[in-house]
Amino acid sequence: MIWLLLSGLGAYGLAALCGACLRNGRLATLAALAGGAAFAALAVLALLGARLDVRLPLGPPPFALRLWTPPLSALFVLLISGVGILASVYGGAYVAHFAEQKRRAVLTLTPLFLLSMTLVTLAADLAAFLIAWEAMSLTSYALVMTDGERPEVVRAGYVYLVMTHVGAVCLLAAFLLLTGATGSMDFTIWAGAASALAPGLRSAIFVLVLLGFGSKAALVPLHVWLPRAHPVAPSHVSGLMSGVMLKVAVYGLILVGFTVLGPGPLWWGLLVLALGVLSSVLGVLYALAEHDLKRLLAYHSVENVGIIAMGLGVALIGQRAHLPLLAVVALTAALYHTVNHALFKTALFLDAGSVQYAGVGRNLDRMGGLLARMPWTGVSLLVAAASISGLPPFNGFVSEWLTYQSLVRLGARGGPLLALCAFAGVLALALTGGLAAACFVKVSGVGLLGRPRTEHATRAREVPPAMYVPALVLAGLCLGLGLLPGVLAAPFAALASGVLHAGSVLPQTATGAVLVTLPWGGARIGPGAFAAFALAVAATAALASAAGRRVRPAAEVRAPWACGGEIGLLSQYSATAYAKPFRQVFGLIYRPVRSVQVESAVHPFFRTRVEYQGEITPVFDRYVYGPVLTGVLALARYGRQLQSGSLRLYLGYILVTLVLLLTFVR
Amino acid sequence: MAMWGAAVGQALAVLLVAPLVHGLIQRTKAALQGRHGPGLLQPYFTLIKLWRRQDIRPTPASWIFVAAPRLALGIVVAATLSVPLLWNPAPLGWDGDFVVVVGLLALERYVLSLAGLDTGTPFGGLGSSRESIVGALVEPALFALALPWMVLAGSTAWPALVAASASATPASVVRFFGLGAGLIVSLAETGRLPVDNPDTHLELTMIHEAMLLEYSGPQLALISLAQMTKQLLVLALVADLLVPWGVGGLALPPGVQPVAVLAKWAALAAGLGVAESLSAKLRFFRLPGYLGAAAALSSAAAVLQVWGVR
Repeated sequence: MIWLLLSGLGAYGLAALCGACLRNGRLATLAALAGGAAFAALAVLALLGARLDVRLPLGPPPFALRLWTPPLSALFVLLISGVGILASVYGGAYVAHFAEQKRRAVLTLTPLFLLSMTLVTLAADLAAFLIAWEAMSLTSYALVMTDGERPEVVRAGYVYLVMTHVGAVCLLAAFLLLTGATGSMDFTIWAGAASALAPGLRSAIFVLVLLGFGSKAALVPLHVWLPRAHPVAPSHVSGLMSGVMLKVAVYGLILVGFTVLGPGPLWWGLLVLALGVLSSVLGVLYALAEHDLKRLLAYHSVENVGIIAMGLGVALIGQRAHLPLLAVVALTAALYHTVNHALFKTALFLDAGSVQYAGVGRNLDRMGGLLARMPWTGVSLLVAAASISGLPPFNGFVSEWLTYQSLVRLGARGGPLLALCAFAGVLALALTGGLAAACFVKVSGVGLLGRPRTEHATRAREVPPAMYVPALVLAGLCLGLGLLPGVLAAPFAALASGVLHAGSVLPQTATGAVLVTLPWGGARIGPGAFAAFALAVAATAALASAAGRRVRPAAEVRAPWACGGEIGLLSQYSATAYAKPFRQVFGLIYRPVRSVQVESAVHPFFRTRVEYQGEITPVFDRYVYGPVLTGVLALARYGRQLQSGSLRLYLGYILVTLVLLLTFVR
Repeated sequence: MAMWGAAVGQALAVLLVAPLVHGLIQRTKAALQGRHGPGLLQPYFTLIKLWRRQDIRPTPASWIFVAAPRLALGIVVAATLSVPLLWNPAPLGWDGDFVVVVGLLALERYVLSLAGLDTGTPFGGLGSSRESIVGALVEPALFALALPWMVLAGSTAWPALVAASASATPASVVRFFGLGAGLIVSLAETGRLPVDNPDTHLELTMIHEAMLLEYSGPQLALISLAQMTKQLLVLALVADLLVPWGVGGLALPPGVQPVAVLAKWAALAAGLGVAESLSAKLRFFRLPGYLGAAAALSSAAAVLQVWGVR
């Protein structure tokens, strides 16, 4: 185990070194793959029962970093390494068209980014955790700044840096409170001692942790950095940030919220559930209004983190309300969705990158007809899009199904007030699912189908195999985990009951190898339903193609109906037009602004030019962050008065501070 | 093995009966509108006519356009297998619950919406966009419809839902509210007035038909059959949740039971025709309020259920 850890560390380090020094990127990619493989092997061994618990010395005895592999950590390490391997393969080919300096930067930083994420999940004490956390934030910031010569990228990076450090400060405060109260920096000791702390202190710690991890996981209203920062990074890094880095924050939330702090008051769970509902609905609504493909995907990350948070919230409530089975199923749902989102979101970002690589860009309104030109990228995009929409028989459906089940159980068993919260959750999840499906009809339909809208889209060609194969592998996993839901649900349920210390309550019948059967009420999904589905589709298809052939003339391809005229390329429905009814129906949230300018000759009926401009109001930027920013600046202006430049005044400050310290701290 | 036999048998029976139900609704409408109207069997003749016609595809269409009708029919048939139609539990009731059925309905809509955009025409896109927003708003309403019974049963499995509804007080506020919402949801899900008009091809008001405008011949026959089957499925779904007797709860002699359930369906189908005849088309942007009313009614029913008001 220890050798795997060291070789993983070494391989990632070597990859960074090769990326920085060698002209040829191949060696760096290979070393990064080796690092990913070593950590994946470590995680698999840990999941099979082996344990690793080491202290890496940093200096004399107390200065050591403790790393361990409990099952929860191992799961996330496996996720990071697995997705990391595919993203590295993709990245090796993707950066080929970058300028020399940028290519070296990306090849150096990506392995370091992967390594720091891995170490966050392996950390078992405060020092290791915070060092790795900060390294993760800084490497990802540097990767976001790859195109740093463009002003909007600098702006996005700055917002990201500020938000991530606000989060880090909250985390540091929470962890220092824990350290002060327990007298130790070790997670094991925290877990033992935290449940005995004063309720007020525990709640303060919980809120700080929620702020810290919530800002990294991009829960509304802490999400504003995400749609800015994720789209400007290189696509495989966007995939890693959305698919994996947000999950590291979810890991942190589970670690502190469940393992360390243990059951808390009811409002913890209600708060997380409410944030989840808010994030999922607002995330998907903002995604719908977006037609920059990568920004759209970034908003969908907000939505999916919201769905995960709904599961976590119900699990917290269940833990508090002494409904251990409910808590286990809800946490299983959250873990399943965590893995699912990592798979389909990374696939979608890789595909978006491939479309960009093919020269089409990121604007959906400039795409069209790409399925015929980029068949493999197109198929993986179609599958991943159906998965993220939560449609059967893909994996997104399974985790949403589990989330529904936990909400329904909460409604049935939690008493009237909790039932109301559960109803809100069910309705929000249903609305989110419907809107997500609508949004991905837009993405696949406008992007891949129909006719190309621009010259670039007409000329698009399939990307090299190193780029479409990773996306296809991810899409295949999405389908596989949807068809055989029990493969992951069973181990996740075991893991969840371990995290919740509910080991004995989970009956053996609750999960099967392939089926997911709930321990209550007889609801279950499994391959039977999906086999029936596949059989019915196959039978219909066979019937349709075989039975009719003799009775009718062969099929013919003709120009589509256009009221007798010709259809111009731009008269196809665009992404903007597609989202129009949504903008109107949810106008209260979007607050759309539009301006239409018409130039006409002779008579207003003879228009020569129509210019349309429409956008939605950035509500959070304007009404939430605007006042905060104004307040901080005003405070800073007052604070500046302390700094007069007078030496005597400064000496006076020192005297006053000294007296105060001597009086109060002794 | 017997189970799969029953499943295949039921699938075939559903495909055979669905056009008849459609014919019954059309007859009811004709009678109410004072027309002579087509015969009960007209949907069968229409399907056969379409089946023998040539298949014409638009130039930009990809394989999605060709696969969509087959997928749509397969998806709807698969969904009927887990909803109790004549008997409870359904042939495949063990593996599919309420959430799976709603998911399959969403998948069918997703596939057809993609096909609409695949035609590369303004009509296709227009239909897809409208169909998607109706779908996104119907989904919460559909869930809300089942909420009171899910809470009562503590489960989403069909047998439990049917049993919960059958064992609750027959004439209660909860059921009354649910019936109002159920009517709205079934009108919306089957693409009927006041949400959509199945009998028009006027460009500006079409939703579902605009999306399918480029389909012709056998492909259109498959989609029409899928649509009729879905209509039957939605009726059965609403009936199972709100008036489950015959399928669950009421013990009838084995010979009488299927006849009674079929009669119940016929009554529901005729009711759908009456409801459609009584309503005028709503303006498109008034739909959210209409569908929201369904969700609100059912949520109110669920809240009453939780608070023990029956």
